[in-house]
Amino acid sequence: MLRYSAMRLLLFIPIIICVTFIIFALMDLAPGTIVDTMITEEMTEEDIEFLRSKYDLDKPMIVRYGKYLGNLLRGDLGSSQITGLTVWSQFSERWPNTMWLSLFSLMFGVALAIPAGILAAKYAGTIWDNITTAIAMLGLSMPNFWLGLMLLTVFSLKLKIFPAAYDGTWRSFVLPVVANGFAMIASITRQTRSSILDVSRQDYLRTARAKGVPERQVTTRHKLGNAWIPIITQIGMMLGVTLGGSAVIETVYSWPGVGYLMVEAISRRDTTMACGCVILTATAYSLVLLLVDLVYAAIDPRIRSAYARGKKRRVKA
Amino acid sequence: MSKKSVDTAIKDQAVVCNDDVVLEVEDLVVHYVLKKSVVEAVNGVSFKLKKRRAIGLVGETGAGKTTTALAIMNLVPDPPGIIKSGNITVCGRDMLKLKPQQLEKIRGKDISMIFQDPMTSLNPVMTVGQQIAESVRLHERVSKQEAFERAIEMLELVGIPGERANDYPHQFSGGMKQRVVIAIALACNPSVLIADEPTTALDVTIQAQVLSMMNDLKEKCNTALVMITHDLGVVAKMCDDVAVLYAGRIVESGTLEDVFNNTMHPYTEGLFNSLPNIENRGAELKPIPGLMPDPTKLPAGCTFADRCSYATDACREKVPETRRVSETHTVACSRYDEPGFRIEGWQHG
Repeated sequence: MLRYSAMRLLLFIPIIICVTFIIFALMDLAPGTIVDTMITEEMTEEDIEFLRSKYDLDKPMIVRYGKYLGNLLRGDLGSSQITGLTVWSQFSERWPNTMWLSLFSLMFGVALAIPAGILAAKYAGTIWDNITTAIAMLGLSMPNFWLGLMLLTVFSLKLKIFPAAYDGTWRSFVLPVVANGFAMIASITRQTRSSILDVSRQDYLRTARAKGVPERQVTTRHKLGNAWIPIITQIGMMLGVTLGGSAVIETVYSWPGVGYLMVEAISRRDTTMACGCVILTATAYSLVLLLVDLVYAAIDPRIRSAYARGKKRRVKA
Repeated sequence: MSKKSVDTAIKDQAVVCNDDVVLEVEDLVVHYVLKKSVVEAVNGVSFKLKKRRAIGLVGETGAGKTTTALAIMNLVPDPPGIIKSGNITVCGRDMLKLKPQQLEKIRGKDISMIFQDPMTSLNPVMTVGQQIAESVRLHERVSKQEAFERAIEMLELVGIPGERANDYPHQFSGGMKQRVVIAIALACNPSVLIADEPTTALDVTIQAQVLSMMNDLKEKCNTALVMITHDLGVVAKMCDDVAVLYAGRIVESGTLEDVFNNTMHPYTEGLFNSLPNIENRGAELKPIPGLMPDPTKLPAGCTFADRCSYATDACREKVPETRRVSETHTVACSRYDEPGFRIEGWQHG
């Protein structure tokens, strides 16, 4: 298991290299440079040339990338090319906002989705099932930025119940959490419903009943013991997605999180900042997925032994 | 009902358990009520099983064998299954009238069941030891440790090394899994064991091993056995009595000798004719023509009439009565109303 985790972390190095290269290339291909965002009317040609050479823009992209990687290897994520603040300081300042938003969204989603899924499974084929399915489809097909904007219009502009942007209070969490959580509700509800239905048909429940296990224990020990494995996976994936991908919601709500930071950096052609944010977000994402995998292995012996088997084979080879 | 009164209620009834008959099924009728139709799965099955005896319930797929077994355990899935009528007595207790709590105390303790497919009948996230110990813990006042030790003993009894108790089902082969299932079923030393096609999902060499092991355990544990199978060979090897099921009715029943050597029902004859003959390997198999009638639209009269070469118009009108031809042998065929009627393969004097 330890070996597996180490492998997963090692695999992370090529991913970082690829991702940073892609960002560098895209930023280079995108029209405009960081210098274009700084030019003022009083600047002379020499001033502009000086700025360009200051940011190495007179050198090929690959040279800049090499320099960046070199720094990265020494653990230096660099500083924002605009504000001069280090990437790490900016990221660590913004990160809690994103994390809380993600966690609350997930909690909101899970708190509604799991009971809804259980209900849908219990009354499968009835009107309750159809209602939850319809809501789930709605959540799945509605883009979260659209829902975010709609919530903003209704509850913030018209009704003035909740603030439109982050103000540090719990009230400002409500709208982004709902907008972010709604899409999760859809997929977690569907997953809960189908895995409970799937497990309910399994023969081992009959075996349990035949040996005299009381019905409540059949549900808690045998049914849920199996049903929550795919649900956990789904939740873990959702957490990963919102940690990395709340950029849209953060932009809609001017949320001082990592996603917004990244979007700002990209639009101002601040390559170091954008790259740094991507690296750190990707790291968080992979760590979460690794954690989910470990939880998965802890609750499912079949997965556990698949890891063990892989280990044995490697030893033999 | 409080827990204590459940206990005493069971104790009161348990006195009858000394009786020789450990399982009695009387006129069992089970239907599955679907949206547009009713599946008449079991239509009046009766049989008795005495201590330490083994009865084979034989029949084609869909004859109602598994439904009968589930009804005995009172585990017919509801909905859609409904036990319409009948009595089922296990060790003197009426399974169909007990409360769920009382049933839970009987299942696994007095009567237990082995299912057809060992691949799916074990919980994949519990170790096999836990699954055996769970049964012991439910029915006996033992500590977790003692229950687990019993689980290890049971594993060794079915020929699996005790140290494998901490392994999970996916780490076992099919035959081994079926042994585990058997160990679970026998963990509390039940008076009656129902085995629902226990070897159908296994390959032939493993089948033989599992069957002879079951035979040994049956002797060792003094368990009465209901063997559900479509394999007449299994019946010959394992059972003392046989009941042949067709479309939810017992068409012929008796001792092994009665049914195998003095076959009387045309359907039973058909079953034997569709087996390969080991003495004459070149002989053509004579399968029974046609299929079992649709259980949602059972014909009036004898349900086998449409496939029966002896059938007359009278057969299609009246449901054949079960007639007793000897102390042990019964047959349900209207043609025996005519004195002197014999099926082709009749060998008895």
